[in-house]
Amino acid sequence: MTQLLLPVLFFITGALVLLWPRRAQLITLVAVLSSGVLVVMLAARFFDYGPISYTIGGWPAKMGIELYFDEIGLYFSALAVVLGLAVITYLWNRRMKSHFYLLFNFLFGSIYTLIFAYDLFNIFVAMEFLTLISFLLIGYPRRPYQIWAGLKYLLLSAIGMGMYLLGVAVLYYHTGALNLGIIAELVGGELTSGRMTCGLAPQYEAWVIVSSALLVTGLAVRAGIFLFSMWLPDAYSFSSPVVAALLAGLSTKMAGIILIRLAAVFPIDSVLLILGCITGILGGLYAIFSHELRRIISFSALAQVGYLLIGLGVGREAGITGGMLHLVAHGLIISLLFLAGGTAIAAVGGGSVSLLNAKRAVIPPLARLSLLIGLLALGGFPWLPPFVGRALLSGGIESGWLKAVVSLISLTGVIAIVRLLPVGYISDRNSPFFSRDSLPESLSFVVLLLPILFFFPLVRLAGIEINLGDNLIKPSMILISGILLWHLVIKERITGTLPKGILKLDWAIISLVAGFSIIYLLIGLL
Amino acid sequence: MEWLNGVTIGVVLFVIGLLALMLRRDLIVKLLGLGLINTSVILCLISLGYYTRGVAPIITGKPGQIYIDPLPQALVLSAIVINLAILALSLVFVMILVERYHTTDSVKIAQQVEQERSHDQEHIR
Repeated sequence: MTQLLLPVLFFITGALVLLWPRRAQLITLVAVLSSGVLVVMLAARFFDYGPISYTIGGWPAKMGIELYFDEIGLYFSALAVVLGLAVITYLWNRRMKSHFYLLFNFLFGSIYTLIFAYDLFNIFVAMEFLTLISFLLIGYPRRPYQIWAGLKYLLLSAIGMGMYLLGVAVLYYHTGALNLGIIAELVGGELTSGRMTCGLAPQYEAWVIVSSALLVTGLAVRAGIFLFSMWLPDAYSFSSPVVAALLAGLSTKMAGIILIRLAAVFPIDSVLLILGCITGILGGLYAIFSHELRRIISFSALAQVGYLLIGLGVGREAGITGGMLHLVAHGLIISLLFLAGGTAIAAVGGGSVSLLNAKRAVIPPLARLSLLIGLLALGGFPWLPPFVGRALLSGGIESGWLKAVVSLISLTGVIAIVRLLPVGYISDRNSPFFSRDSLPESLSFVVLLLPILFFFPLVRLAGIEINLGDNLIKPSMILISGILLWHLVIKERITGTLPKGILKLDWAIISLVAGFSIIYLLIGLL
Repeated sequence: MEWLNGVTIGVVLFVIGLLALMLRRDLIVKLLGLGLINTSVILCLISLGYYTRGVAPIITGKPGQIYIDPLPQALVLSAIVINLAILALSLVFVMILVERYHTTDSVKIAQQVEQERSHDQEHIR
């Protein structure tokens, strides 16, 4: 029942904002706080009784639309509460138009719908709603380049969702069901038994291949995978910092959740593995060759999705949980980076790396500290969040070449952030840590920093065992070698940029279609 | 002529829409292609739920009737509404861009947007 209440709450508060625009901030804050209470209630019931299922409208189980709360729901609704609080406090002193808060409330409504969704068509509707809201948010202050970035996003994801719906149609024709649980019984049962008996790759029916290729392509456009979502760098780096934080921290992560759910049903693990390697390495390379803070963060976001896909592709308990934890952790980190980066860029007057490093004394100290911690976390500094997921993930990997690829992705991540680390040096001690004007911003950094710094104990609390000691040496080696490589070899040689043609609208659409045919062939062959 | 059914026509329309999106530079043509894609998916959904000589799924009590599957029709209703919203919104944004740049050519718009952005240092707030 609470699952239904959470999205409905945000849609109602969104309507309230429309009725009472002057109190928009207060209404939104109350909505986020009460959603926090509801999530805690759900979590308490989850820890006592296990996954909670609720079917809307009193239909018998699996006939109606099912809302399902499991581990994925637990982690991501917690992430949504934290991000909502951080963004609301960040905006407390700024005047936003009331329709921004309307969109904010609706965004959270559709995000909670997606977190609990367990029905393919329900997922489609919530996903399209999320597309519309994110599109309006990207174009929020209506600068032309923001509108253009938003339009690219809308066109690409509309194509993707068209493919997704076609996949749903094929699936419905053959299984007569939309509920993922029923489909898993119909498809998955035969597949796993086939794999068990003969030990060879089983032959799938043609419709399984077609529909899973269509579904994966549709979600890949939204999830931020290289070749598919080339709208992402422009949308992340041109929208306003708050919007970028919401978009990167929550909106794109939702497609990741659905991919996690689909990977349990369809034979897509080896495809996800290959896509993960491609997006990890290419995203990392593009991040190294970027020269603006927000560009670097955006491209590294593409690279970080690689870990999730590799985790799903490895397919064991450790891989899936590790990939999921990494996704949550990356949501926290990237929104901290965008919020702190927004403050820093506003203080300095530009986003390029050299400008930020030169004028770093102007940036408020807490923003500088948050940037430093966020960047170190992106580079895989031990104890900080993405490292925890990665440690779990690499525990599940056995083959040698995959280990090499994961290390390579971490290395590119380190190299991309090294040149920004000087921002974090505390050069003068005169500027106060908290000032009255920037109190809300500082508070929002603290809201995000607390779960980041205490991520590891929190994960232990949720009952996931990770052995830190064994995994300490390799990441430290990668971190140190990345820093050394940058300073000794690469620093002088990076002047140009990689080809940017793929970010253009036409080429982005063509690469999407090419990506679909690659996925189709891979699922058919592997 | 058994192959000539809603599904094959839908797939052909889908491919035509994709080609329009990939190969034409005009934004309005691109949006038309998007509309074609959405409509073709709807056609596919509807025809997948159709049985030959089936009647509309309204229970009349007459014996021996085959009803068409009502679920795809219900799904299609929501899909149509969503597609309408997406097309309308993107047309509004195209309108803003066209008012500013006086062209619907996506390549030219992209160039001018890029120029404007590099001039505009204040894009951060």
